[in-house]
Amino acid sequence: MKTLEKVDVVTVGAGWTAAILAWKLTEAGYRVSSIEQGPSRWANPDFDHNHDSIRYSVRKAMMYPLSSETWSWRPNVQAPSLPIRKYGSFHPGQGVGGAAIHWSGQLYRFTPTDFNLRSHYVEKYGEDILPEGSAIQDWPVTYEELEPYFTAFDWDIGSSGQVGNLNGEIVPGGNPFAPPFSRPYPNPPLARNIPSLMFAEASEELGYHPYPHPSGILSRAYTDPFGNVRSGCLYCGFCTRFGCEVDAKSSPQTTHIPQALKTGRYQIRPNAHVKRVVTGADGLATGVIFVDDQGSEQFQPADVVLLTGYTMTNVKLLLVSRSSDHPQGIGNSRDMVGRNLTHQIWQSPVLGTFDNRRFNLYMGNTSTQTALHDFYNDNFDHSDLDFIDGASIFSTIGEREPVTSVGSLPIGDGKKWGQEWKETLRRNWDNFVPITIEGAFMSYDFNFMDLDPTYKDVYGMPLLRLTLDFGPNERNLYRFMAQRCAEIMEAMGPSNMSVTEELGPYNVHDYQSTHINGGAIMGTDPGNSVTNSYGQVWDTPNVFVAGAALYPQNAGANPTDTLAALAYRTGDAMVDRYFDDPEELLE
Amino acid sequence: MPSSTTSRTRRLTRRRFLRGVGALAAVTMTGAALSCGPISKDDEFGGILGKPIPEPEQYPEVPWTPTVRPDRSILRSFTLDQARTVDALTARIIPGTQDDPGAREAEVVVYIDNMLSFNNGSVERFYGQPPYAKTYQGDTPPEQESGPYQYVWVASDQIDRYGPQGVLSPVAVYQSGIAALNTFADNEYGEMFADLSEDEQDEIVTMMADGDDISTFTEPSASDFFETVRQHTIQGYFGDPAYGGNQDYAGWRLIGYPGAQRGYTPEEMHTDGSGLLHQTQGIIEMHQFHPGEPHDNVIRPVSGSDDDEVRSLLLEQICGPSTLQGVNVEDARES
Repeated sequence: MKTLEKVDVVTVGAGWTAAILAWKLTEAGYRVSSIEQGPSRWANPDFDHNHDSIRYSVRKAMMYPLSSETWSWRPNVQAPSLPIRKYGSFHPGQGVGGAAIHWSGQLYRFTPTDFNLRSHYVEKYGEDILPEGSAIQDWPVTYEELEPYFTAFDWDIGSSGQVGNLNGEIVPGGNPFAPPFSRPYPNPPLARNIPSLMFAEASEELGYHPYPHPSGILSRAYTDPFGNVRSGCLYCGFCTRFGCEVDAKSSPQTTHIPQALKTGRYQIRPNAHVKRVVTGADGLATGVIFVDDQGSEQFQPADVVLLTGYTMTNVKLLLVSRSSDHPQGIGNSRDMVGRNLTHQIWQSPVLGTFDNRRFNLYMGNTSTQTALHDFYNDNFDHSDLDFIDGASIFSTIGEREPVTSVGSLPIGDGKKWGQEWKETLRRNWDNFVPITIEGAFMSYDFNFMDLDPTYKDVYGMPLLRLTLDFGPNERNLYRFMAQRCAEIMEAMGPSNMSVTEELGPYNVHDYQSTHINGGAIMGTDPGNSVTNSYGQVWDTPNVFVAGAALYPQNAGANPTDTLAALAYRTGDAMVDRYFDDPEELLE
Repeated sequence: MPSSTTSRTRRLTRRRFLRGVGALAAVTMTGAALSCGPISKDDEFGGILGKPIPEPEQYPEVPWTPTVRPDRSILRSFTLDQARTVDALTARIIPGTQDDPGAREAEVVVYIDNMLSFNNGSVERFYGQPPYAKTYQGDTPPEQESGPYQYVWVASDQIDRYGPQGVLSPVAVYQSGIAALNTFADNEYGEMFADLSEDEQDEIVTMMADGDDISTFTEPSASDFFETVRQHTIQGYFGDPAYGGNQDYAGWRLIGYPGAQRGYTPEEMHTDGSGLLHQTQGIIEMHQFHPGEPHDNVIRPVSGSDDDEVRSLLLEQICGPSTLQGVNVEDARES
């Protein structure tokens, strides 16, 4: 096995948390190498001719190569696990930029109550409100601590939106439930589609507080703090699952990777798969072993290892990196790795049709819509409810592609073939409107990740196994939100509508967001977590985990803004303090 | 590091550095000579290693977007009888006439035939490692059958939650499903499926769609086969014509979709039906967006080409009169 020249820091992958940390660390003078499984790719020439729904949306060209490595799933410990053979309920990425190339750009900050979730509900409603089997816990970091990092990220990438709370002052037109922002969004909100304006009007009549969806997609040309000038969004309608050919959708490539490369101290090694983290005689990490594009193993020594892959990549690397000092894997000396696995309740309980309208819903993207946070977390009284936390409610996204949307019609139980179906599509394809919820997903003792005993990846390592199902909180939350969505749709005056009142069992084939969280959660001490608030692994302090694997439970909002803010914070702490006293836990 | 690697790394460092920041160096300059900014001072390290892979080859398991429509007169996977059978089935899923084209008129069978000609129809990534699943009815799995083969037993009312677990390639699914369909048609009506009347065909399709047990089907089941063909009919009828179906944009015209466009304005988004004022086009007709080719209302990507000629065109374009939705670049820079 070839051993490469040692670097200061090695990262798993070249996705967004890797790029943020590489930028912070290389600017401070450290050498960083990213070992990236997929290809190098850039807006030009790679995304300039890609409006192909078959290749990118149906066949999912950009997604993680699950023919080489997938994940197995079972609903509970009594059931057998089977591998996820084709893409379904989540869409991890590969290649330089990671999933942040094909992401949607929805940009939410978790709120103060998301961070002290458990103590907030217990103090306000009593212990009994917690769902059975609950494993939720407070984060070891607060919104106030993260606010400067949220703001820095939002300005560096050029976010778009209407601020709702500026330094504690409620700003009309924005989200009045938003946490305080120290600066507004640098760009105005994206344009909204017609049904989203109808949704706003209807929900205002109901007394709610709709506002334009915040986004990591530029609503206009923007000069970022580094001097990059980027195009605004063209509303082309090929956004999620595609790379943006004009760099209007923010990504590591638009922002952090060029800054890191500019230092001359950043290196990306594409087409190389990290297989395991290596630890030395003292139990500390010494680097990573990866498989190069020729199939040969190489060793990249490093003083610090950053687990900056997708949630499941990071958790698996902890579990498979076993040694005499870490017989159950890195970070797992107290059997904490794999716990607190959560996903997201991403469902459209209500569909309405509006005959004789043509809403142009193939234009735009997932941010060209209206959001509502009246039922987010504890923005509404839970005293008489059978669940905790809440959901974002969304009007309807754009970027509607025929091949992936005709299956939604007819609404209700009509058959989906034959002349009648054809007439339904003719009549309603561009006027059917879902209302969608993005619900919080609580952690439970019965949902977790471990190594599959049967199935292996092409590198000979076991697959990571997900044991995951919706819990009682998810079902009860969904039922409540479905009613609220139905009330809003009724107020919008549809020709016809259908409501799915109950949440079905969890499955791995219906897409329900790529927000898999937990498994290497952060906490206040080694007894309740794998890492400290910086993602630094308690039992191996020169290994850091980034991303949503750190989340103790999931909120009713997209995870990207929060994981980016956490990476900014960790980067600053490493630069300011870690290297003064390496291999010691950061206070 | 060996010296050959070193020199390649250094060269790529410079190339890739420019790739990453060349464009922004260009756009942040106004009139001054192009500057490259700080290039790596480190000869041993930095940049993106290896030779870039062209986009068509970046994800080799998924076929590249066709650049020309496939020749409809050539069957690449089906026999003539197989093609007739599939064509007849798609025509019941989306019926049509010459004036109101359905799947047959849109040549959906050409889409399916061409799809199956790539890697036995495996056009998406698929994790194919055994052991495979086998279902059981009732509360407990049966004793392992005698014999050498290993299965994972899954309750039949739970298997759908696990997503596709089939073992057969798409080509094998079609071969088996077509044979079973024709055998059933022959048994019940005395003719191949394609030769039955539309009403007779609809009777069979209804059974398949409703999940009725049709004894001539084994793997795939009748309902699985129907669902496979239905999904592929949707892809062929509503997908880009470059893939062989959606002839004359039949699917897009039905629902009112203008196809692959470069962009729309907020005003268009706010006006019912305005997108249909664009000429309907597929990806082959969509104008190229390659570096250096001017285009209205677009500022060139930051993460893009490192080609000198392109950068100078970029400079000209961005520092010239280019505007974007009323936002002048100069204003954007000051914002």
